[in-house]
Amino acid sequence: MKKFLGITLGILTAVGGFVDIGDIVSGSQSGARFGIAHVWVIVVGVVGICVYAEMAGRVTAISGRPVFDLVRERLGPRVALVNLLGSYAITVFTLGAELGGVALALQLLSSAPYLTWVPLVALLLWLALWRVRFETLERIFGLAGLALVVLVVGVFWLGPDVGALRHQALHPGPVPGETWATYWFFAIALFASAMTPYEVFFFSSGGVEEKWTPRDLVVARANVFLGFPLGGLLAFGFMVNAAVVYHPIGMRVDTLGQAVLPAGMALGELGIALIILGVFAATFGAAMETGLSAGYTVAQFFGWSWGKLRRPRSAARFHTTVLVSLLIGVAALLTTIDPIQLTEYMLIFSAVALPLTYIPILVVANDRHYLGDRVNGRLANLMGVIYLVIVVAAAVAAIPLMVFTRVGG
Amino acid sequence: MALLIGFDLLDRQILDRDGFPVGKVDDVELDDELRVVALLTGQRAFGRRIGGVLGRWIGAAAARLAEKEPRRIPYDAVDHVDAAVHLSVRAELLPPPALEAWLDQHLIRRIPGAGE
Amino acid sequence: MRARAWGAVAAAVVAVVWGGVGYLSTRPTDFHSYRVAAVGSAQSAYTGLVSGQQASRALAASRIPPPMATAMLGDSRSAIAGAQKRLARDAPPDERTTAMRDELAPLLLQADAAISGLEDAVAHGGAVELRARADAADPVADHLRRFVEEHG
Repeated sequence: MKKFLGITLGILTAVGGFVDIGDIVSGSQSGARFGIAHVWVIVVGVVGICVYAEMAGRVTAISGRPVFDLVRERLGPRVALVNLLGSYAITVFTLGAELGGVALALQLLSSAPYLTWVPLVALLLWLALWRVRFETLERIFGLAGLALVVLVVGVFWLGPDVGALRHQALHPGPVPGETWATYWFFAIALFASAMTPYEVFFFSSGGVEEKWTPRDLVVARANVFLGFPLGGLLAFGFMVNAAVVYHPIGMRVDTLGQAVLPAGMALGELGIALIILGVFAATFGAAMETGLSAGYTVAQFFGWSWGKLRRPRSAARFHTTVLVSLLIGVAALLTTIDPIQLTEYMLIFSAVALPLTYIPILVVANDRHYLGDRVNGRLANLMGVIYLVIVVAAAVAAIPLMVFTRVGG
Repeated sequence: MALLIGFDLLDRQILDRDGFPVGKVDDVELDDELRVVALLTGQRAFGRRIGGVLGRWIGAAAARLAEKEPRRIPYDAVDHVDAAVHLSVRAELLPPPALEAWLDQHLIRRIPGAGE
Repeated sequence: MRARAWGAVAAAVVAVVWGGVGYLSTRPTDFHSYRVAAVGSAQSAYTGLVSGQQASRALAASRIPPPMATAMLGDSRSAIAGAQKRLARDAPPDERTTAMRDELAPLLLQADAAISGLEDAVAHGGAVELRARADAADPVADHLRRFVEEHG
């Protein structure tokens, strides 16, 4: 019974933890501009992250080592260093965007402008990562993130035009007023928001700290294959609400307030309370994950001691890296860039960096030295290669599309 | 012990007896008969391995941290090699990492709650 | 020696990019780029204005808390200010674009005034006044949307 509860808790945590500011922004924006014509991208992205998270989890459970650790061994120090620099830059970028999301959520409940919240949130974040028992935090924020389900439920109160929605879903492509270029631009942003690089490294590092053995694979897989798709449903909530409220009147979504307003329209102040709780939990949780992930990748590249379970004094370099990453994230926000815009840029650059993350994972998951006979089977390799092709295509197309459409125009 | 240095040793994680991370095998020291005598780890060794301008810069930064020479782990201390290089000794008995000690002393230790 | 070669390459790339950006940003606007700027400006203003209306109506119906309405109206104000700045950045190069500007600029001013009115109503007025002002902004919103559809 206890094990069943543990598994359920893990799945629920994965569901609530799936959504971050990237999903919120890309989902809402594409919903407003294209209706739900991009719903297939969410499905594709969720399947992709499941495939690769399973691989990373298997590598960790069998070899006892986190995935990024093995990247340097397989690719050599120079290539892995380039990989590290790219991944680290993107992760810190993302951390800034998540912090911005938390601050924006707090601004909606108070009268204080979001910039005044940023230093306070960063301090809270650092305190949480410094000493608080992480498993507790993870559970709390993961479960609180489930409040986002209010969007999925609330949409039925908004009187959606189901016929129009079905037409959009079955006819992927630009709607009147949009072009194929903007359509694919948003598709790439959505895809990048689902296949977030830091997620895989975080998942794998957590597995090492929990000392996964091959027996833990079943639970890890349950978390991935049930948690992530349900999490994708929550992300879809933002898209479908924007499709119902904003798309018919030709509006766009440029602010967090617009993204969450439909919950209020549907369910009143209770809806608002739940959605803002959900957004806060999702973005703060993601900020914790990206902060730790930034530390993990650097520490695992250089072989330092690391971990949220280690006392800070026995992992000084790791904790310093996390602190420095936080400061860089805050500095990015203090340039007064709009956090929504920062998120848009972050998604596109994430898309470019995706091959850096996923090629090494596919390579390592096929290495018998680490996995023995638990290397990728034919299905895992087939899916892995298919997604690698998609990931490389997205990476190549991302920047040209960004320039051509002027960041979505 | 017949190991292919390139495949099995270099860039592998070094773990001490308790599984505590010691560092990566950044470089190896060979004797005249090209047998591995010691593992080298740390910024200086890494800087030399990377080479080029970046490598020299990393090495110079290490020197400033009072790392006079690379951390050297005699090969006798190695217990076995699988996905990582496992040592038979505890990390405390090895030369300490300069950057870790420096950060601990000047930064981490001063923040309350750092643990003892 | 290799470092010097890389340095030369990097310097050349920077020079090309710098020169390119300089060229592109000082080129006189043509019809197409003015139209794109005008439509973008109208779209931002439309989104900002309607968002303000929606927030006000939601507040009037007690569906959202007051700080959220205030925050959203603040965002609307920024959006419209940004739209005005974008429209004013370049001079219209020909008659068609001059006509566009003459149609759009007053609309932006009206949108800004509408948002100010809504902010006043949030601060001092009641639900009835909020709804009235939100409805009063409908013609401006419609006109902005028609502009976008016509020229977009």
